[in-house]
Amino acid sequence: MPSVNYALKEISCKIVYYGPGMCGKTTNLQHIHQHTAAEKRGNMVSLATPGERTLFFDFLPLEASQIHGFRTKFQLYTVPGQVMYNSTRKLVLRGVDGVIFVCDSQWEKTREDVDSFRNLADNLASYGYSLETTPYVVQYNKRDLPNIAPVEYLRYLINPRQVPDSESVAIRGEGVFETLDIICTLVLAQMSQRQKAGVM
Amino acid sequence: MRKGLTAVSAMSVLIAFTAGVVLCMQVSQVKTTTGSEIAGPVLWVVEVALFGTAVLAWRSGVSFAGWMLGIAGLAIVRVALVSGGSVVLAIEQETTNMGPALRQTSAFLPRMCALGFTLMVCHPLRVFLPVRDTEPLRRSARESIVRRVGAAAEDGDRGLLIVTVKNRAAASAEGPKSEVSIHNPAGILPSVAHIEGEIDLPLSTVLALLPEDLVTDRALALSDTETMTIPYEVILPQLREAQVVFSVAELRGWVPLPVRKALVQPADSDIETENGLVSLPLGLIVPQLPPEALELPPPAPPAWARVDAEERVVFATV
Repeated sequence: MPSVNYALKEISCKIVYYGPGMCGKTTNLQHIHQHTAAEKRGNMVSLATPGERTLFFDFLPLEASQIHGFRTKFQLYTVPGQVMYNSTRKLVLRGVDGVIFVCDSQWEKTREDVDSFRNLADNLASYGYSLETTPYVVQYNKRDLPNIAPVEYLRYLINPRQVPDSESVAIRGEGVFETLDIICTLVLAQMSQRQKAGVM
Repeated sequence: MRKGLTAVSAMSVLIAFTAGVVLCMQVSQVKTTTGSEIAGPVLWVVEVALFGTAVLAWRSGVSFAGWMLGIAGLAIVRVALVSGGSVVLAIEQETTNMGPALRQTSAFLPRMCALGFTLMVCHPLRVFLPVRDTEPLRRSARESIVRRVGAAAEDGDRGLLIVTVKNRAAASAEGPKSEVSIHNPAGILPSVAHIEGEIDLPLSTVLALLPEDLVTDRALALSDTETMTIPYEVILPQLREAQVVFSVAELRGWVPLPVRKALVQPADSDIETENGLVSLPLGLIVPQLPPEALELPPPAPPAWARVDAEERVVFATV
């Protein structure tokens, strides 16, 4: 649940980029880091192997526009996609407010997408969260590659709920901010709903 | 070597034949009366019966023509061994008259020796015997494990299949349930569409996915223009798993008959190979499916997604 600091008039949310290895999570974050105003973002922290595989997680603090007079701050995280780092993924999901599930659109990666999505559901469940209560969006990445599955099939596999989804080419920055905008809006809208309902 | 007969097998045939000829010749020089009272025709009947039994034992599903061919082949090799032995004996005795040498090697003991070596020589060659059509295999493929799992998912909660590793104690308390739990949050996925139809895959692509030692050069040559037809009913239940997988034995059932016959036959491959799973390329399968195969139910997003945001988040980009 986003934390609200009424004294500082500040809302802080945690967004996690989740997905299989090499699907483009860190690329998303790098693009956001490179294309946001320096005064509105912190340093990007990245723990990676020499082969540019995320070893622990990436972190990027980001500030967005004011909403109802409150400054909105987002902490963007990625998880290591490799299967063996599940305990790290689980750790990163603690206290998550919203998830961007990044799919690798290539045919040969669809199975990994499905496994990773199930892993997300399992890891959320370990904290008592679920995909029914945690806002998430699906990003179909690498749409510029030749050997990709149609979005209809990826949606059938990953997004049968038909939550908001988008196509992207993270390496060129296409669809990166669009996906981030959607999840941030959903997270804040959920917070607003809860506030009205007196949950927060 | 992508053939039914491997280089090692061919070498063993050659060695067994040579050894058979030499031993047949040597045994013929042993002075004994053993078996001399048994008439030649009786020995032939016994030998043919033995050959017939051997062919049936070696090659399950052998056709009648294949069986006759096998017996004839064994008989020819047996005669060739005895004749070869007599030739070597004649050479050793420095005579051009083959009659005595042939009588000597056709005696009971050398004949039995030749019989044993005949079986050794011919065993690796059994792969060339033709078999009956494998329609029963095709039927068993339709009742495959993969299909049963798919059907189980469909009959159950109609959703994503998740394999969960359960706590052993909890699992034992729950009783002997399947290790595969059906996970379908909110019953999202529709039932597997019952659509009739088939997809065609280039046979050469499928053969390239099979274990190398099953595919003969002849099968490859025949596969160039052929396609493999697989019905939707066995593909659709697997689609949501993002993989379409069949065992080698199942795939054989869909291979066109001429190519199927040219593959190394099930009797000559081991069970592990036959049960090995082959994942077919989704990129060739999904585009052939009708749109209704991937149809989703009407949108039912969770409550958090049903929002009408008054204000959108804006990031200061550069």
